Amino acid sequence: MTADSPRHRLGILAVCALSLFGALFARLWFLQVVEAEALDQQVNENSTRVVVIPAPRGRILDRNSVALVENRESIVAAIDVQAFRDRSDDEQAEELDAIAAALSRQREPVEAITVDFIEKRMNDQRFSQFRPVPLVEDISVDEEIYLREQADRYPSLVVERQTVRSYPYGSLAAHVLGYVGAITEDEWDERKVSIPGKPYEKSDEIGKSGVERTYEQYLRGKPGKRVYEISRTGRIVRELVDQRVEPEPGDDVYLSIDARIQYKTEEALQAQILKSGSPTPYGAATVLDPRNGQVVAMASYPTYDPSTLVGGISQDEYDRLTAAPEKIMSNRNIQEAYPAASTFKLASSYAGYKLGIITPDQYIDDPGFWRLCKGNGSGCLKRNSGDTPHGSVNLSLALTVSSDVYSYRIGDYSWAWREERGWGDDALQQKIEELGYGSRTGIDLTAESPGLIPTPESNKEIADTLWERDPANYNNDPEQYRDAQLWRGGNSADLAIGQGSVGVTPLQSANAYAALANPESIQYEPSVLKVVTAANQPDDIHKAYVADELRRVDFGTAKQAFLDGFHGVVNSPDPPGTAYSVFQTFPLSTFPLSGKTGTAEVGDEAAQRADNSLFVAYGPNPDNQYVVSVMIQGGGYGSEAAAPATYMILEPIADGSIESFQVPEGGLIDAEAAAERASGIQTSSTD
Amino acid sequence: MTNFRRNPASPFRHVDLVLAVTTVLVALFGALMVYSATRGPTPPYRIGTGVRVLVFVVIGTVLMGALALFDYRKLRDYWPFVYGACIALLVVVLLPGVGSSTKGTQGWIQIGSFFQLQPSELAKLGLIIGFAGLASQFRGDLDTGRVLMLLGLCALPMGLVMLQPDLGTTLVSVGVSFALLLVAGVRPRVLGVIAIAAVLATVLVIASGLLKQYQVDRLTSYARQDQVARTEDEAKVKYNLEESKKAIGSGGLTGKGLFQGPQTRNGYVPEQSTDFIFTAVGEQFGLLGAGALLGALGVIVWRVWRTAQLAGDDFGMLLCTGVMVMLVVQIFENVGMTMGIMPITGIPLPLVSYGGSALITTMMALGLVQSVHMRRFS
Repeated sequence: MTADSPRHRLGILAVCALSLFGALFARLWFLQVVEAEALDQQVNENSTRVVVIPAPRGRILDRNSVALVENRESIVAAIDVQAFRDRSDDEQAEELDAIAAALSRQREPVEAITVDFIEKRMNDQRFSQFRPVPLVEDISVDEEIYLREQADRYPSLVVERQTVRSYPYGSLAAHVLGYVGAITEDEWDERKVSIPGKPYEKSDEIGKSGVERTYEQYLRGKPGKRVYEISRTGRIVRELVDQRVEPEPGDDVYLSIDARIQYKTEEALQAQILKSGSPTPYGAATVLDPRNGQVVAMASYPTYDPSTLVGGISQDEYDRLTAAPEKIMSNRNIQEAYPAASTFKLASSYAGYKLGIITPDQYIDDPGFWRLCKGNGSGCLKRNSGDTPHGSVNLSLALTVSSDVYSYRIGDYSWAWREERGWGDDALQQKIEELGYGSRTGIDLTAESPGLIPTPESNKEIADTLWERDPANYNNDPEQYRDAQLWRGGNSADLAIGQGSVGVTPLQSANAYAALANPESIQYEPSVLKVVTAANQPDDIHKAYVADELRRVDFGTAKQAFLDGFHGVVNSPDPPGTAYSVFQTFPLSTFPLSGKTGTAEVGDEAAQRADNSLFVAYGPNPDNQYVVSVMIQGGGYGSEAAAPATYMILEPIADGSIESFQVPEGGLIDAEAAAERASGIQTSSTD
Repeated sequence: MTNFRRNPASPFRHVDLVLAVTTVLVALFGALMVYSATRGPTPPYRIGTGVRVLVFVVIGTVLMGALALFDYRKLRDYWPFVYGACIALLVVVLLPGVGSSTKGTQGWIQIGSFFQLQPSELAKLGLIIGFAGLASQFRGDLDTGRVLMLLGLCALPMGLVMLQPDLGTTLVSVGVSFALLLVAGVRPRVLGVIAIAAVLATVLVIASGLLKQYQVDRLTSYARQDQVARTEDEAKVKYNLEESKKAIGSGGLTGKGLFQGPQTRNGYVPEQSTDFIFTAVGEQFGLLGAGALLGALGVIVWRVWRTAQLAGDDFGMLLCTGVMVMLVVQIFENVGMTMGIMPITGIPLPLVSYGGSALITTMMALGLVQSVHMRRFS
């Protein structure tokens, strides 16, 4: 054997073979040790699919645990896309036709379910391909039976039950409760992971307004999931049961709303609006607890039944619900601002006292008018309602009889004396805002308006904007425009009686009076919340209401005069309080009441009937538990509609009958009975 | 047989049991792997392919035994018939109407309804036998003319296989031929010239357009694993490689367990039961299992190499060398391509991949090696 023998050459081959095997082992080690974790994750990504199982939302209940929003089962016709795609083309076409025909069986031709619609749904990215894609929601039991009986004709059709929102009391508290709807693309982008542990799917529903929206993070259930192993062709192979997560229902939210008082409030509001024959039959009423800021009732009219929104509505229907001037879905207690009229005298008198224009004991002569300047035009001569002279009035008397002159004087002087007293241009406004006017109360509901307390500056801005937008707003007259830009004593005088461009929400009124009604003059941030608990476990509290103090109002030595003045409005026969006649039959001995009327001149003076009727009340004095604020558009004088409505709201509380009262099933208001109650209350044409 | 116990040179006293047992065990394991890759994700499981492999294992084992009993030295005289028969089959398979094609390669002859013969697999063995036969006649005295004769003997089947075209088998044959030339005693300088000529020929083949585009893609795409595919074919190859690496890597140290690998069970790796069977091993049994399989194959290679060392004559030595190199090249190329260190070509993993012709050819080759081993003293 030489060195060049075949045996030697075989040795070369052995070395080659060994090194090749070595290379394989090295690579194997690299893949299965170094890269193993990353590659395993990639395998999981392409071989598993996660299907999210939506969780039921929590319930919404009133303060006495009466369920206002629950869940019910909805029967949904859906299509199993996987099973469908497994069929041959001919079978698919045939089945589509059959499904479309079956689902359209009891529908109008315009609402028919078309093959086109079904195909679009199946390709809709919002719906997981691994769960049946819903086609029609809320089908009847009869329909369900029919579809099940004919199942062999459309094997891919699935009839299943889903939970949807239900409203045992119909429209009761609709504006507070709000509603849920399909999440929009924008909402999804913004909020998909906003709540820890509760991410959104594109097919999810989300609270759109009211409590449904503000307490979304609690009401929304915790979605569950199923993890499926998927074959290369996209078929479900099996479920990875160890990765299954069951959905958890959302928390129950207990409101501070009392369903019984809510019902009475809605009944009273509706009855008085209809009785007034207003050309603008809209209104709002809030019942607030001045001791902690909790809302006991909040009614807005016209109203709607949120159950009509379940499963989505057409654009036409949505337009109908939101169109002006009815704005059916708008909560007028917080979303709309109106002139506060004489109910604003609390604010202007408070400002006058704080600025030193008035003292509580100082008497002012009220001859029925206030002269701002020389001349008898409306710019210079401000008149009382009905030109009634009230004679010599101090603070409490001025409030009881609603002396405009008393307030005109405050407004006029706050402007006239601004330089000599070193005040700014908006001294009056600043003091008024100390009661919470002109800014949002911060209530836990959606779309609250801040209202508007006009200042010389805002007045000019508005005039500029209007002129720039369209000079026709000032009849193309630059003179008129410049005139509008200018703030005068008259503007301050108008502001002092809550007229002009002042905008106040009914809730702001309630909360301003709540500060006075509170023994320590504390004003709270209003809230509709009582407590949040785990689903169906009232003792497992997740969040309890904590009264949030907004401010302490310093009424100083004037507080008693304010209380006396508003007490006189309801109780003083002579001089007659503006709401005295209304409450003559009210059980004032057991439920002492104070209040303030308001009559807001809106539109031109000829259409007197279009005045907004306002009333704010608090009682039982002195340990006030309720503040009521009512506004009825076009309701006339304050004591014509709003004060009688307040009467109707508070009477069952005052006489204790509310305790045994039960809200009728479905929350329906017996309009005739309500009208009869309304007609038993005396009204008067006093501002 | 009568002197079986008394005669120390009796072939039956020198059976390589390690080789025989390892071979059968690996083949049976291969049957299990093919079944795991073809049973489908959910019941009812398909057992057809697995059973077919078992049948081939039985046939292969019988043939391996028969060839072990057969005295390989008779082939020293009869090799031209074996070689000639293989060439004939390679010609026949190219005839339209006789050969059937799969994925663009005309490489199978349908025999009955059960079996498709793949002549290129048999031809690898034919080439080895032919080379060993011719070279052993030269007794190590290789002048230029004889080297050219040997080259011609190798080139003929390779050329016919390229016409199918079956690139993988051709590449294995190139490796086998080169190793045989080396061991047969061709001088290094001549080997160098041959190697350069082979590289030039390869470049020429690729440039000439003889290869289909997908073959070029397969060959070149492994060099661009981290880049975007340029053609649909290349994308398919890349996908195949990605899924292959994922399957092997996700097996980790100990694997997902038999029938528990999602890549294997759900059919994410294309061609898994044939060329990519190693991924099924890697995913289900991890580094330990795949390493053990490579180890077992290594044992087989080692026993074949050892037999080449021990062979009683040049013919047997060359026979074993050819078989050994055939195994090594196929193992390295096949396992290497599933892990992304070799280009993807259609080469089965010996004894494991699904494919009757390949399995039977491999087992027959190992039967011949056994025959050489048994008769090394007689």
